[in-house]
Amino acid sequence: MTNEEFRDIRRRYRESAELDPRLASELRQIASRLVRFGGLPSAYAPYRVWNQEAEEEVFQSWYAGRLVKTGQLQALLDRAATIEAFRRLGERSLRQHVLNQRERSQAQNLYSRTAELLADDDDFAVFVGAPRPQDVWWGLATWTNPPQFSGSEDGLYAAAWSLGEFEIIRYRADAKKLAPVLAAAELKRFVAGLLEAVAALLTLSLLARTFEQRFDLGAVQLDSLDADESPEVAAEEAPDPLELEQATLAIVAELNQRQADVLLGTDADETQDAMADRLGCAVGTIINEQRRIGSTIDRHAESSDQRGTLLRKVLDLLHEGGERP
Amino acid sequence: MNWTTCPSFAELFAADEDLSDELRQHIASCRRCQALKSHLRPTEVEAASEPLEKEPLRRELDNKPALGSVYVIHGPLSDEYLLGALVDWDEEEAVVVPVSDDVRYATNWDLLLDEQLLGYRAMAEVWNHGTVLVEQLNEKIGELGEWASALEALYAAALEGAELPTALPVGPAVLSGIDPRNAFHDQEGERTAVFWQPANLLAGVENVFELVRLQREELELEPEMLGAVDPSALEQLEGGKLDVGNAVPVAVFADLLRRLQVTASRRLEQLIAAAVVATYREPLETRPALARKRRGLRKPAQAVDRDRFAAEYARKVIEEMEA
Repeated sequence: MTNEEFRDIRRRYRESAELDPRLASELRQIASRLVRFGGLPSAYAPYRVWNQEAEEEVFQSWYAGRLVKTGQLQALLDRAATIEAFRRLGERSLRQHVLNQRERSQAQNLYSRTAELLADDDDFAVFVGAPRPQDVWWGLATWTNPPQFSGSEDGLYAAAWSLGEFEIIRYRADAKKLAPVLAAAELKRFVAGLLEAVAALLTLSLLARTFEQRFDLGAVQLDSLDADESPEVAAEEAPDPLELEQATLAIVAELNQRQADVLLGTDADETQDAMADRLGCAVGTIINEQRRIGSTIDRHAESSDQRGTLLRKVLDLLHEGGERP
Repeated sequence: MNWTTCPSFAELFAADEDLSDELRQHIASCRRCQALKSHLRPTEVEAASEPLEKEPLRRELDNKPALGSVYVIHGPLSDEYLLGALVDWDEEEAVVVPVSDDVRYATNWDLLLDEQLLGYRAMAEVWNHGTVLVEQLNEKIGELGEWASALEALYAAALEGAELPTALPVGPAVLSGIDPRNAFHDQEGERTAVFWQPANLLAGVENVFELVRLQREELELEPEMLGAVDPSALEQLEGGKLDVGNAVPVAVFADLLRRLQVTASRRLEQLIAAAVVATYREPLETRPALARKRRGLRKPAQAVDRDRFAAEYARKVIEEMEA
């Protein structure tokens, strides 16, 4: 597709009821390239193998669930001035979609884990009972006469954001046992931190909505918390070397040139000041890039241990591209 | 291409002869792209596709700018547009609030916009407002309608450092320095900064001579690297001592400004016209004219209208830059 054709499609997109076949073809090729060139690890495929059916399933899920349903195709077209920019933004959108799908599918398990944490950990206590588990008011065990939370949901979400970054762990979609989105220690840090921040009792319903908002997770079926089921926990499995290779490439594909250079500089013990000077940006930008690199690796790691392995492999791959800075 | 935008797989694995020089240079110097090129396996992809349906988004839009008009805005050296809602404007410049679809990171200084307005959920980043040249407003794609007054209220509060107006659809407040949305703000600030450059550049200079000098220094270009204008002429030009209108051909001046990555605009046109007037020198009388004068034969003097000459010259430079 030429840029002239792209501009024509872009101009007519809003009013038309059918997707221009050239645009439809372009979207399929974006998905196809990402899958067939190795840009998406097979662990992200619906049945852990990329084949034509899996590719089609992911494409349809991306197209119907994200591009059309939430209007993201319009957003991509609004932002892209050229077909090159559209392809770049399209790839990013598909990657995010695939990763988000995995996160959202694990939301239910996270709420079950929270219920178990509150019930089993002595640092938490019930202050006001209720017939349904999701309406019970929980607080820190050290509190005396705490109030029930009566602020706005925005106030609660603001408190959740104020707790900073959390390490998010993603597990394979087909893992025999599911695992929490937040590692156990991180989950406790979040719940206790939130209670301290609002200085009031919270219910599981409020915690569930806060999880949804803060971590962009799917909605939970709160009724399921009535059932006497233990949350599923991931079984320990040795990482598959091929999957690690694929995850490494997926991480590198998500980086940009500056992030690759910052990562190499950090590995070479270059100071943030020196990197800022070398890359012509502010020290704050270097710090932010380091944080984004960490988040990108976290999103692909299936355990804390794997995080270190992936980081090493990403560095090895980048070093192969040239000399150390 | 720049530090923060690497090519898609389509470009990364395209045949070398299909790539632009810029893209080739990027791939050759980028560790991320080099690593992917070495390790990924390009294979055939299918181009055929069945028809796909979508909902049309019908709306009537006039072309007049208004409070809350949403434009796609182009910036220098970027193949991505910025979406921005107008909050203030005149004939030369417009103050816009960037519009983003990353609503997950909305704070209390981001106005949340209904999906019906643009076809997707979005937020107006009031904290991130900036000034663009009107020439950068590429296409109007929406109107905020009843949201416009909310945008104005939030923008006014941001300018005045006032309390946040209540009952506006905004995100949760930022309560701590470690809130991850602060990092998103830094990222967005960097993404949008390039779009403010053309207006900031022109706002910060007194005249076109200063503009040329400062931009050359900013881009770290030696006089010899600027092609058509020879170094000594460039020195005179930067010092305001060169008769721009008569000594620098239109095409040469336009080329100089393009190389300096200056965006063509009305404001630039005015600066050029002012420079031509300021440095204008009457041409020396020609030999035949002097001979006629000696013989007592005088043609009626034809005074050059400097202002008209300057305006014409400036207009041609801008046209040449846009060609």
